[in-house]
Amino acid sequence: MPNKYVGQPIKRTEDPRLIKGLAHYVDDIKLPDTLHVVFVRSVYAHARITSIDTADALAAPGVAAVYTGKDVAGIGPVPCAGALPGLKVPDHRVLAQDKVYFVGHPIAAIVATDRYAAKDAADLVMVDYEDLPVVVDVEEAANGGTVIHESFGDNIAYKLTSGEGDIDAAFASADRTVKQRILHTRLAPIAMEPRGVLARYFPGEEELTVWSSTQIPHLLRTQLAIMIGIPENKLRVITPEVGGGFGSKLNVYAEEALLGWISMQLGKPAKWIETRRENMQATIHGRGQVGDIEVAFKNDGTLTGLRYSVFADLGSYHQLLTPAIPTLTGLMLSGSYKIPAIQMNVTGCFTNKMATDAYRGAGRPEATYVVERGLDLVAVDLNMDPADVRRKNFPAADEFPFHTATGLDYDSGNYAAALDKAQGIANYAKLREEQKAARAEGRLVGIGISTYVEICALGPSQAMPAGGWESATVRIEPKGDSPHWRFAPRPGSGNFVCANCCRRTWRASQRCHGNSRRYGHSPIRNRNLW
Amino acid sequence: MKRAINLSVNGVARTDEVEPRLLLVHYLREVLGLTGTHVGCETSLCGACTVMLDGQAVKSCTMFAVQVEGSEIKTIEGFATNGELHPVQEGFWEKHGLQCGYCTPGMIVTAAQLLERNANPSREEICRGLEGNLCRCTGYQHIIEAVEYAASKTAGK
Repeated sequence: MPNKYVGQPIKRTEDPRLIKGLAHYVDDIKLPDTLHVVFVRSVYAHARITSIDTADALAAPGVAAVYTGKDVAGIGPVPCAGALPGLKVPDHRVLAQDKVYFVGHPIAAIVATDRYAAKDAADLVMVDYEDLPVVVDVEEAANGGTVIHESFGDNIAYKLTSGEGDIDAAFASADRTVKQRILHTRLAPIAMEPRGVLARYFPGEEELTVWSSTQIPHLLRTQLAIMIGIPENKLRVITPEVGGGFGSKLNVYAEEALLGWISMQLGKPAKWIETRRENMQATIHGRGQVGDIEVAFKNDGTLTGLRYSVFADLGSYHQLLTPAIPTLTGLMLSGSYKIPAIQMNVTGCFTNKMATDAYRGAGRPEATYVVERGLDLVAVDLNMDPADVRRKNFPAADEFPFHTATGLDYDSGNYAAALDKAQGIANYAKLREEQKAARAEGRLVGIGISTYVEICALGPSQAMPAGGWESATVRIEPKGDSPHWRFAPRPGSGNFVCANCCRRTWRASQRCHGNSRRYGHSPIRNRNLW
Repeated sequence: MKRAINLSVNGVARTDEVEPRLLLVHYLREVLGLTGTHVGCETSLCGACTVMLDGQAVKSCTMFAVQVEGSEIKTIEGFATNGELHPVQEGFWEKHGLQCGYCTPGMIVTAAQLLERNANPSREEICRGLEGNLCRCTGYQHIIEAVEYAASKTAGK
């Protein structure tokens, strides 16, 4: 097939509306009689709620309703799809019940005729708290810190050991070993557009439409239908333009279910647009691993084993993939290298924070950091060039398909040739000379080397049994136009493959994205560049 | 108590009664329906809400509508004239200066002001000129190229 589009520079068909300010993100969609929702959120990281007085808020101008935890206890829990053996799953309701577990934990929803009125009324809600000891350090959480979910008895959500090969023998037979503590700092994903939801219920047709700034409209539809208790075929999720996600919108959030439910209660459209402060507090965070790496190797730099023992800071509740993210680290710990034995020991812990979940690589960049840092430690220990340590441990081109001790099969590759090429382009030998000269003058110059291999576009497989399918339909309309309808949203990616396969012009390959009327999946892990 | 404001937005005279606390960005988006101006941070940090106020790029999320009494405002919707894109808009399209597009209107407004003040900026001057506008998708390289494109396009006219 001639390739006219994939990998070619091309002007995107969606750009005119975006550069003219005419595109529609969730908050740009206006429906008549829309009510606006503002949340009252916890200012404590851990506290018992002793009382909530909503009387003044209810009496405030423009207020249509105020809901607290007891009103919405019937809405299904916020779902977690990470099914790990023995996983403890807290009952995650859409508004706090008797306790709050993190700063930003939603306590009450104020519904009013405009967002200023809703905000005014939110300030009138009086919440009495009895503050409790807070656990923010993940190791303290694991080792005797205040128990966050009392019924569990401790803060350990799960423990998991993964990997193949005889790790004890690897360390016992090694010439040398190195060990290092490493931190993957917790961070906030911060999409430029915060989250937002608009829900509209038609009581006669019993149909609910939810517009959400999400990366996963189809999964969201299924999960919202379960949470709210509405037939899935009566629920439609539409993702308009999405102002960035980076994984933070690859989730099912309490607010999405609440907005749908509120619209059903009041028979009017309801809108919530997240503030940046809420976004920092109550949209998922990323990373949050504190671990130790141990590397076993021979005197010539050949690796014999890698062990990574890590505490994963999960936060107080599981969001959609929270506990599963560290397991992706475990899958990628072999990096680009032959390591005969690998072991990862994860202790997933509850802390008094928002949940961590998928953020930019979702556990896999953490693995790259672990293994590359490990190789640098080996290089320092042996006084070897870090590029040579890497080259020494690459599988040879004729060793592919190559089975890793993390359980994956890499189908093809020629890593040594790629590194040779990169070193040639960078003129590595000269850079090392310049570094030496600079250091002789007392200037510090560093040269960092990293290789990277990633498991992408995760589909159904032994390594990732979570499903993940796409559907797309190309229809020829009676008039002869050929609009391309595809059904995953567009948080910044493009649409290349269809135009190529269909041998249509780029412009003809228009599409309707992010609409849950046909089932599909998501743009997660770069899977939807088409 | 509402107050009357009179101003011009994208060349159209407006008179509206607004609450004194109504933010300019909410006036533009909610009252006038000009939703191309976005809200990103609410604290003047990200620049997604940038509009032209009497020829100066300002962040509309931290101004009140009543502060712009008697002013001329140009929003992103006012940049293409008679169906023709502004050179900066063209640059963003040509040079892939956007992905999700959320920061783009603010970037375009700021870049337009930058070029009005300095028709032939260096890369460093473009970076400095755009430092009040954040983008999470592109890594900025294509945005700088978009502004360079607009500068050379304007110079060639």
